[in-house]
Amino acid sequence: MKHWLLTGLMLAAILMSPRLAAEETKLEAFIAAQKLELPAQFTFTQERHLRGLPRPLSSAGRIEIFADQVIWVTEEPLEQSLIITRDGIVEHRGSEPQRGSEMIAQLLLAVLQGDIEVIQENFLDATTATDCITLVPLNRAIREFIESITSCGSPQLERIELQEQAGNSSTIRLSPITADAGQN
Amino acid sequence: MWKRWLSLMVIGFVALLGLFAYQAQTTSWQSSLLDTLPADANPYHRAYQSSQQPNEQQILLWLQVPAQDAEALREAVESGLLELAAGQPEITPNSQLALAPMLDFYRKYSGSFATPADRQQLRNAPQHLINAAQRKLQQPAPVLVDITADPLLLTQTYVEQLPDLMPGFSFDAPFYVREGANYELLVALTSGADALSQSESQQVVRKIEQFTNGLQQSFDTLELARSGLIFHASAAADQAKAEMTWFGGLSLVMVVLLFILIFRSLQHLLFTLLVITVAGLVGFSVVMLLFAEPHVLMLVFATTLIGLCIDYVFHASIAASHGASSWRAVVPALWLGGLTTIVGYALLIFLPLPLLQQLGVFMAAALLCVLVLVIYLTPRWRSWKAPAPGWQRLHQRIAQSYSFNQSALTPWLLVVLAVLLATALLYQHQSNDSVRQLASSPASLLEQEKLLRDKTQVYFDADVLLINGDNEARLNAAYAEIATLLPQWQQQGLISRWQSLFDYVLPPSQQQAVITAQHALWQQPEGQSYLQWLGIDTPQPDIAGLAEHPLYSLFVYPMAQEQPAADAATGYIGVVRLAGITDRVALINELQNYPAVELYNPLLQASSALGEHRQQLRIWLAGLLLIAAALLSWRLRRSAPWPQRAFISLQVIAVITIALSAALLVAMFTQALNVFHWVGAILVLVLGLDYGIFCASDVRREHALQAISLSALTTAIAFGALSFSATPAIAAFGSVVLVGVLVSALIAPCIKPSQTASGPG
Repeated sequence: MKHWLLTGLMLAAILMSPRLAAEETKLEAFIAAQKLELPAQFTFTQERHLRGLPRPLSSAGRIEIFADQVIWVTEEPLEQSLIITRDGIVEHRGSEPQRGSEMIAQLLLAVLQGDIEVIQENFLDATTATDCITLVPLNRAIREFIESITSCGSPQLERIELQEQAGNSSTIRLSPITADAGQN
Repeated sequence: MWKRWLSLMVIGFVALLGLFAYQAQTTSWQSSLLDTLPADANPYHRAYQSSQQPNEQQILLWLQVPAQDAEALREAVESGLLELAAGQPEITPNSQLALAPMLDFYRKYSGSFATPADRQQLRNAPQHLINAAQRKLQQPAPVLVDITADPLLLTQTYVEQLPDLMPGFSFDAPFYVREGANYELLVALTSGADALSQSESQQVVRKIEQFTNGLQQSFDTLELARSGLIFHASAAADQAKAEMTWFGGLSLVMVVLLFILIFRSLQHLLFTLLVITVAGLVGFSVVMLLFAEPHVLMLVFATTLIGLCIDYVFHASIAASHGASSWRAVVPALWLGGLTTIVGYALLIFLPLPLLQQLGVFMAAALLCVLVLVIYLTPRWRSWKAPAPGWQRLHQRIAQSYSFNQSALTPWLLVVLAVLLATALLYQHQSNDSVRQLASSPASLLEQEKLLRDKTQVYFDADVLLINGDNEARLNAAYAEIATLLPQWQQQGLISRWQSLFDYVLPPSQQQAVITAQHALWQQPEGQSYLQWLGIDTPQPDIAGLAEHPLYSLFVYPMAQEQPAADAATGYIGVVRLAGITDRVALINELQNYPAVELYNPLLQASSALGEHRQQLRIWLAGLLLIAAALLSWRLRRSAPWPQRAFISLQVIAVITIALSAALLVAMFTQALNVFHWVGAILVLVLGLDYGIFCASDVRREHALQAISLSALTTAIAFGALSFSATPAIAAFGSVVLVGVLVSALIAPCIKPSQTASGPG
């Protein structure tokens, strides 16, 4: 009986392994397709649904994605410029990053830059939809704040959804700025 | 008749064993050094001490590898943690450092906590706070608080500025990590293993060592350090075991060899063991009967019984082996020596220190038992074998030699030497009562502790501010007042760091002020406009009860819980942990206006307890010398005129003084004197007293010398071996006994004998 059970388990493992490999390939393929040629520029609109607020808070602006940083410029409702690097989120170059923002910043950078290595190191793939990937942070401290990050649009990155543990969520819609549009 | 007595004694012994076994089961032993303090010690100190002895073990591991091995190390540690958690005793990550309960608390009381800077802005420039909150809300970062209670995100900013539990490291549950050229990982572990159970503690250490050894085999470049009381306890247990095996084993072999060589039989050894066993049982039974919670340190001091017991057995058995007249001559000396020593130990009962009281009761009861057994059983024991002829001849020659070299000046020389050495001791006297002498951790463990202290800032000194209050509200008010002074004292350079409850919460009055100031803002147009932008009504934050904070129990302790006794002090104590006190006196002066606050250091307190013991023992030793002088002048050689008795008594006291002073002066070459030197001095004094009495009595000198040299040799071997112990306290005890007993044995025969007992006889 034990031998049959063991054989069954081994067979299941053998049968499942290509499937796991295929899932990894799908994630890699998805990210690879989304991967941007850096530097890249987008306009964005952000909708934040905060628990207890009757309506979402909206903001809009543009983001510039570089290999080592993301410049996040909000134009409405308040003008604000943020620099997101591996060290964290800062409002002005040279200023101290907001405390505890470095982990969030690193994850956002990885998703925005399409860095498959960082994504595979830091997230569990929990994808259910076909045109999106849903990533769950592996880091338990980050999981205290962020439930998941969903990146949608293939091959073009269109939308990022941030689901917070406290029940809040943010949807960031992105539109690429072409070189011509940028010049205009 | 003899058989009936023997039967009665066997029945008595069995009854004694039964009593001992029953009491041993019901008696709880104290182990903390502070428990040796007088019973009227500060109740707040006791409550704090109790709170600091949780029945669980805290362990911190620090691991470092080059950055490229970070992921592999992390995986290896994670899988290792699963193994540590499996099986007994369970070792798991320390949940007190968990983030979730802290976040839940601040989320629940959103809007009640604000940083000092935000509180100021709330009063002076609230529009800045509104703008800052709006900017924060449009950032792609999570909102931790309830926006409907805290629209200005004041509590979120407060949380972001809380002090790190592991400064310099970021929390990556269940680890704390620091990344750079190297990857550093801190693992805080806890185990439910009973700290007082040596076997459980050893199992925890073994499991941790297996875990770290496995990691070291997998990573060549791994640097590792560990910290935790349990490692020191385990190392101390291993060392004690090794010392017991080597010193105890070797000295036992040598003592047995000595017995066999000199007596050519095991008769004396068996008799000695019988007397020690019965006397020990009597002593422990009486102590457990009279004291609800005897102290384990008493067991250490009680070993001096062995030296005295051996002495009495030798004197009695050697005298008995030389016939009835010798036996009759030794009995008065045995009674005098024994009773003087018993009176001396009984005097300890009047000292205000429980440990010494327990020692006094034990030794008085056990010695009385020894004396009765030796005097009653020795003549009834089957014929005693005399010592080997060579041993007898040797002591005959020694006795002749001492007698030949003695002059009328010898006693005066003894007195002069005693005065000179005692003066030198008083002049050179240096003492050090630091409790750290009790520890003997291996250098590698101490280096690892130091490394962890350098790498992290999670360690504080033993100094704390103890704040007391009749009730929680009063305590919190006094605690909050002191907390506001801490930054000021840091600026003055009195302290370098602190950890206080109010680093993590605001007092209710300040919370109320934050809520009131916000409420005022919501009545203003700019506040109303902001609330309208959010689409919410006027927030109604709740004031947080301090006791709800997850870290509250680390800083505030209810007194009644710690002291369930009827006379228990009620109320609460709060604790502020301190590091780097530069000027203790100035800090104490600063606290003078705060009667509910006290600077307390348990290590200094314990050291002062040891110092108190040392002082009391010195007084006791001096008192015992005076009483012995009086008793000897009264009872020693009663047929002689009083001036002669006083003169002999003076010589005995001089011998003891020489031995004590010499032993303590020699001991000071290696370390300053502490209480353990003086415990050794007790044995030197009482043995010196016996040697002196036997040399001054009617006992034939060569018979007395046979017993004295044998007693001195066995005592010096058994206790002198302890002078090689790695634990300074034990080495101190051993070195004093070694030198003191040998000097006593060498000097005592200089006592000028009486006409009837002088010469080889």
